[in-house]
Amino acid sequence: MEKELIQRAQKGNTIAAEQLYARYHNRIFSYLWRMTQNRLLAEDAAQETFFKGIKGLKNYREKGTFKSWLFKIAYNEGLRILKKERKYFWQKPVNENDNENIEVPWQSDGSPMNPTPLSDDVMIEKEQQRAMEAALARLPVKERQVVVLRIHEGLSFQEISTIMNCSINTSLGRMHNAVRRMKKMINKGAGQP
Amino acid sequence: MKCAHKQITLYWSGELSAEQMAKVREHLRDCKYCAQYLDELQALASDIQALPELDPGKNLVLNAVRQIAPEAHQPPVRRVAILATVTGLLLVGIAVWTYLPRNTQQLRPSILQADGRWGEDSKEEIRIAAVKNRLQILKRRQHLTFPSRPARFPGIEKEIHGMQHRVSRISTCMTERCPRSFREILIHKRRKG
Repeated sequence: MEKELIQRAQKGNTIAAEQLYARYHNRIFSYLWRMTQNRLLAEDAAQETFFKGIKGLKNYREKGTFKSWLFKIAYNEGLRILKKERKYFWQKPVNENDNENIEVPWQSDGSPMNPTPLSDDVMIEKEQQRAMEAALARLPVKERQVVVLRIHEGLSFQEISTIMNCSINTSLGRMHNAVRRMKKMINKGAGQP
Repeated sequence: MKCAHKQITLYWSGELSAEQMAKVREHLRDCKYCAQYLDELQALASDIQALPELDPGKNLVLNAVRQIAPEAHQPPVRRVAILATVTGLLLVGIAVWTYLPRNTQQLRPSILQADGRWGEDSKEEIRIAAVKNRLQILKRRQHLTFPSRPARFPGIEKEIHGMQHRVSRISTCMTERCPRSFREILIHKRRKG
């Protein structure tokens, strides 16, 4: 199905291209949100990713999966936008106890808490998710990329190393560090308000 | 097998061969440290997988498609209107180019007076050239409108013939160094005739 869509889109069918990229719409945005930690930057990067993806689809050869090809564009675009915003360079060093100024993407408007009253179970679940999101946000950018790409997006380490232009051992090392770091943060209750 | 977090991570990720998987499984039975790391990895993965996908709240794919192919997403009525306007303008342009008489030819007399100024014969020559030009345009118009009909304009042809005759008479008079003016020549010739 996806192959068929890719072939039609490569022939210039814009409707097929739209259907193809619509499958990755929220995933790419979520990935870029978690990468940039900023809604507007994520929107810009996602928009640019889809633009470059559609424009460069003719150059796509079935060497890897389409998903990893698209995420490579998204990764490069995210880095480009972060560099442009200079956040990439003067990002604060990770402070595991610093719990302020962490934007948590609960809703489409970026507000961390749901204003409507929730049941206890839902509240606890939301709180856990918030803590996890906050811990994830405090990871160094490249470690966070490995975690999100492997766990949330289900890409293999081989694909991640291609996307991030590094060796598979580097990806595995980053994953290990991220797990240790996150465990430490969660144990200290870093994600709690 | 020695403790190696990279092997454990690949085992968890399912990216090892069957033989390597068996080795790691055996190692996990004896090594508490590695078993604990695997538990942490699994727990973290289930927590991160539970994180919601985010919605940008607007269709970024459609925006990208519109950026690439704006005309494909215009409403049909507007597209038809644009097409009709362009076709109309094109037809009007062709009509104007074909039918409107164009006087781009710079008419210059070949017969000049001794001091380089235009004489009566020069003016008459120019008049003939203008009428000939008009005849050509009429013939072309006739050919384009009714290709099967022979393009003949006896009135104009007769007029040209008469004018040519007059010029020849004037020229003859000039070569004979006739001192009288054009009007006088004509009167003289008419009387003579």
